[in-house]
Amino acid sequence: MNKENPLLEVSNLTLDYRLGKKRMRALDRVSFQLEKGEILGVAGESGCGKSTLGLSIIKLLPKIAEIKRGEILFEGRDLLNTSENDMNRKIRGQKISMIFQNPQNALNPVFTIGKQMTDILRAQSKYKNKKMRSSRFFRDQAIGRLKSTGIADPSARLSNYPYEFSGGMKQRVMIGMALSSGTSLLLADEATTALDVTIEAQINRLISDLAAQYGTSVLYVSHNLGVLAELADRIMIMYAGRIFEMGTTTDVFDSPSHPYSAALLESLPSRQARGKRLLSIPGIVPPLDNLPQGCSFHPRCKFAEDICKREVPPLEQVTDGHFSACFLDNKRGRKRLKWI
Amino acid sequence: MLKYIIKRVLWVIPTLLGVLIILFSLTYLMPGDPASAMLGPRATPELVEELNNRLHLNENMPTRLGYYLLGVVKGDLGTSVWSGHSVSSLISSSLPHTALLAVSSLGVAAVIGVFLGAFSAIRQNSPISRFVTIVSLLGVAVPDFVAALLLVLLFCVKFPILPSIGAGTDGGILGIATHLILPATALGIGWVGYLSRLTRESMVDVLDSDYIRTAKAFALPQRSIAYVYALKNAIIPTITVIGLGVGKLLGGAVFVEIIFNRPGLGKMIVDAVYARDFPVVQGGILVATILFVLANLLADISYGFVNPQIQYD
Repeated sequence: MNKENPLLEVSNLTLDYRLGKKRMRALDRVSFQLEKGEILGVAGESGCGKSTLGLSIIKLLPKIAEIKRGEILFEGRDLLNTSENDMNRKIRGQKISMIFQNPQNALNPVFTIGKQMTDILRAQSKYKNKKMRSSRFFRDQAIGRLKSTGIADPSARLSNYPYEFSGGMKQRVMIGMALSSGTSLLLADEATTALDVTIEAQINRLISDLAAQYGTSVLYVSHNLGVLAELADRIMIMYAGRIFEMGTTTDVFDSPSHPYSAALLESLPSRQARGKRLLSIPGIVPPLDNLPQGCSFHPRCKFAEDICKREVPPLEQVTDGHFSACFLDNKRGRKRLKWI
Repeated sequence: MLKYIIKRVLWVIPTLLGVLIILFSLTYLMPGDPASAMLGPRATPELVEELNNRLHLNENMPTRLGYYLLGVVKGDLGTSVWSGHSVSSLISSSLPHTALLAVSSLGVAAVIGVFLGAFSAIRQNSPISRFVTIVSLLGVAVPDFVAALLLVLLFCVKFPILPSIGAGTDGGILGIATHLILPATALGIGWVGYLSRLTRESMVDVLDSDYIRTAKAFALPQRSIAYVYALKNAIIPTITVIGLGVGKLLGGAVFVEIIFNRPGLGKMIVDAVYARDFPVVQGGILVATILFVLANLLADISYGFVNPQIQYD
């Protein structure tokens, strides 16, 4: 991996949602890098800003979102200052693709799969200023995309409507459209959350296989730590719009540095001895328009001290490539955090 | 699809049968003896007796229903008590005027309404969108007969540029067209408002949906996202309402035909009611009902073309 030039570099991204007079800070000074070919897992509870992060990279945020400051550099290009027109002509669907949470509604119900796929392929071919191609050409291309995702009898499937596909198959169509040889970055927003466990495993394998085949980097947003443990090279734990901890999957899972990450891991059944009670983190995620002073996690944190109530802990390096935003890191040293 | 259409067409038969039975029983709801009610207080007993025989009013109810249904199937809707013309000839001379009025007003209203609604949903909060909202509110709020009177005052009295009376049948195509403008506008203006609001609401929802976000994420051209991918979903409820609206439209046509003195179906029925010309009323309502049923059938079938999922329902 080329450490000097990461594929994606997000720095100090700060974003508000405005609802009437309310302002909600959905992302607060989010900084991270994504290397070429890397899979970065983003985890956190609902409302922690992990979906917002993906949408802000492909610039499909809802109108109420307002980016306050920060920078998103993708292949050296400043995405926040890239025009809508250039986003469409050069970035979306070509270099950066996104797949979404609910495959049931991700495809247009009143058009055939084939029409939807060829429309996209034709539009992208036009953006690339390729010479005019026949419908036959795009149809063959669509068949190839379906085949790459393991859908049986792809040419017959093109004339099906979305309701004739299962959720898993719809997500396969989405992946087939999202991943091709030109794709540098895939944003997967809870891509398998709505699917049952067997299908979830198949889809995740498909994503990681195709990503490896095309050298695509993946920002994999999920609340399922078990899935991330298998899939991701690195993990980023978010809470109330901030990064709490970031490091290699091994680092975060084996020696979590932030009390919140430790708590998340202790609430996973697979990592607990049989018969032992699972942890349930006390309290709820604070509303984004009314965050507590200091560290936003302190009211729920078992280890909180006075400083946590006054000051916001910065994201600091604990060991090489392992970052954590907690005042207790230095005091505690390398001792393992235990909630129960 | 074909199976769905056939099923839907077959459903028309019991619907129409039900309508026929209701229309038939209306004769029983008329106060007093139908024949003397029709002929008025100065009718001689011989005349009443003759009419009773002609209308089979002396027979028992099932026999009369049988006569009535047989006549309808044969296309014989009876004869007008007053003019002596056959009801079917009266209908065939008045129906084209109403059909032309209904089709032109609803057709134009649908095109304008859907476009305005879609446009104002795409450009939310723009001045054009606010203008459309106000216009559509006005259109919905003003009843068609008020709109008709205002149009007559404006374009026939204050600025006499358009004809206000009749159907213009002796003026050729141009005459028919100029005589159509005002009544069609009066009848359609509310529909523009209603359909544009409906389309706007559903379009706003659709534009916010996951599959539109997908289309945006894959950089489909804006125009094709809005007017193809979104609109085809958004007009599904509009099509249903247009189908159901034909009934309301025929009701509105009655007022408008009377104000503009158009010799249409609505005016024929109202005149027949005043004259107690019962066979004409019965025949007119039957034809209006058939139009309504056919319009719904057409709406359901086109609904099936727009929404692929319908064929398995």
